[in-house]
Amino acid sequence: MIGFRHSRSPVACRRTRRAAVLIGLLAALPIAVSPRPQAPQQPEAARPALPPAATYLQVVDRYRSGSVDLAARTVVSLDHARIEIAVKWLGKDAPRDAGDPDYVSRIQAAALLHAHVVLAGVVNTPSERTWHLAIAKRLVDLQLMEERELPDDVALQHRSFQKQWLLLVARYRHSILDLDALVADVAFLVARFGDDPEVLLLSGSFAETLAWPRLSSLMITPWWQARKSRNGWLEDARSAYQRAVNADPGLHEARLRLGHVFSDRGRNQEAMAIFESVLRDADSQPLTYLAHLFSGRVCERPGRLSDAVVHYRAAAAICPGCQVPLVAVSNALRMAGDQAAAVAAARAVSTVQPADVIDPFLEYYYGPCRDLLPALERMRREVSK
Amino acid sequence: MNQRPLLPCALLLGLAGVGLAQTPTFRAQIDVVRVDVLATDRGRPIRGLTAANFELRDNGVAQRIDAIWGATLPIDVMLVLDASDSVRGLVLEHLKRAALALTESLGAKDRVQLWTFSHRVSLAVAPTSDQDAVRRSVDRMEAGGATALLDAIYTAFTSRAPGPNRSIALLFSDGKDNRSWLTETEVIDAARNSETVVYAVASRPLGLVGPVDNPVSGTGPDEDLLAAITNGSGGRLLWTTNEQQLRQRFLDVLEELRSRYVLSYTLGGSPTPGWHAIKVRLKNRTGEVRARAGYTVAPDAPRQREGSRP
Repeated sequence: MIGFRHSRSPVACRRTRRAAVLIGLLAALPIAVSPRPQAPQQPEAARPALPPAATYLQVVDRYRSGSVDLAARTVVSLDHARIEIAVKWLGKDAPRDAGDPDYVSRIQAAALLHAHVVLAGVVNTPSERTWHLAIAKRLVDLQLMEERELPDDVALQHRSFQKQWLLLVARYRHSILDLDALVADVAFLVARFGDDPEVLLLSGSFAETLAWPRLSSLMITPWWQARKSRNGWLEDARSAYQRAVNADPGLHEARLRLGHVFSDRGRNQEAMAIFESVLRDADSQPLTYLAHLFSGRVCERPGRLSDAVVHYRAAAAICPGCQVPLVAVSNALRMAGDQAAAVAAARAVSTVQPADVIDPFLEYYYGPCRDLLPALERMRREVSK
Repeated sequence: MNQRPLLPCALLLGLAGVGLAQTPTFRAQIDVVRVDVLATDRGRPIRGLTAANFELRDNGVAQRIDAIWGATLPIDVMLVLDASDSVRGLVLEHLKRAALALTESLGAKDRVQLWTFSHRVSLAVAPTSDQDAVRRSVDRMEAGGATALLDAIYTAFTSRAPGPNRSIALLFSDGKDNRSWLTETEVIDAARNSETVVYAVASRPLGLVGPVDNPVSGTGPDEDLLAAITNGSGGRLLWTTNEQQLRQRFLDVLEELRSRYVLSYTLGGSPTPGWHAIKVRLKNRTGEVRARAGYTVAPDAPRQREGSRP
């Protein structure tokens, strides 16, 4: 769900870059993981983990118990080989009692921990990000546990977890426009959870990003993007959003985006009707902010400039720290021939106090990616129960 | 720097109420339009021209040039500088030096306004002749964020304060827009209508090679867009191949500004609403003239009559 985010970074979900120095320092330290105070009980039949796996599991349990930052710093200081051995052990040699909820929770927590170090910026290099997400994906992979004949309730829980985790990582990749990785995520999610409204929302926004004319200005032009025309991608987006809205009429972000696609295609009346419904039904300020902005754009086309100004001013009132509505007001007034008012509005742009609030319009094409770390934390709490 | 009109003072004084209007004002059937022009011969500015050397047409109708000003008219320079992520490091340092070099080369009556932009547009220094204030602000410049080039240049030249000075916007960027609300068409249209002449100095990201006149596609600023904005306003687009050239490019722009002329003419009767194309050419000699493409008279004339005027 779109939300006003408070950050100085313009890129959605780009987290504060934690100093690589810190990682370097931690890497240089000898690994010293103290015994966890409240280690989950191992099943009685369990064979003891190999030393590398034991160390790794201790870190995972620290994460589960709430020592998130410490666990994150520690896991990035572990050798990759050590972690790979541990993950392999979890998959093959760990206790066979797959129905043990603690076993499942541990694997899920491990996947969340690796996602955390990426999303929170504990690791910054592309290769490190790729590696941690790949390890996490292996942990999340159902195959790891499907072989273990999970009880129905555990299987259901894990399937839900898998969807949430995949959505989270896909949104992260969308936020940094890692489109080559995202295309695989979206394909997997659609294949496995194709009817899920959140998945459809992600899928639609992914297609809309590929139709974004300014994508090439970011020097991001995946070769496969050319397989479809801009209108082709927009049609994919429209279809996905429409299905999402049909599946969950309360998913206002999908409705807003559906209206935006209609607007992009010049279907102004349909767009306007949808924006009006969002303005009527949605209680999310960022969504109503965007609905006003996009409504203003639709009004401009047939020359309803005074209506456009009303919408832009409404957007400015919702987000006083955003400059975009004032630029839009100025331009609409200029087109209306009211030069003096256009000048006044343009001058107001520079008086907007720099705020921590990020203008949702600036992040629109970076996907429905909001509040990833809080979502991750909610998932962590779930697996820590 | 003294304002030194090329017309008799009496005539200038007579025009003072209307001739220095910054935007076309339409008052009581007397509508004065100012056009900032650059005359060149084989690329070199032509100096010493008089009104008699120009032929000016407004929507195809020849106009009598009431007044012409040369280099002595004070200049308001809007520096509109890209401070996004892409200029971090060496580019930013050279950009600062270029901005300071230009500022220090201005006359006492000239003024500087400093705008910086990333995904946000910031007015760092309001119009001032205080070079120390500009220096302090330039020193504080930091780079970071995305690029809202179109919103920035639009905001800068649209928020221009009315005044008698010649108005120039000097835009620097090394990348393409990726965050603006405004479209290319809207900003080009606004630039064509503006009395501010827009120059742009564009640079490709450090380390990318290619001929100056044929920048590597997709790696630098949008040449077509910048050319359309600058040409439409009567300005020009200049390229740099490396950041060391920035200072010289900025000074080149200033030198060219001092070779420009401001022409003013008066429209009789009620101006026809809509687009007024301006065509300026030289008479009795060879050469080319750069000038803004024209201006728009809104159908809502009363509103315009209430508009700004110095």
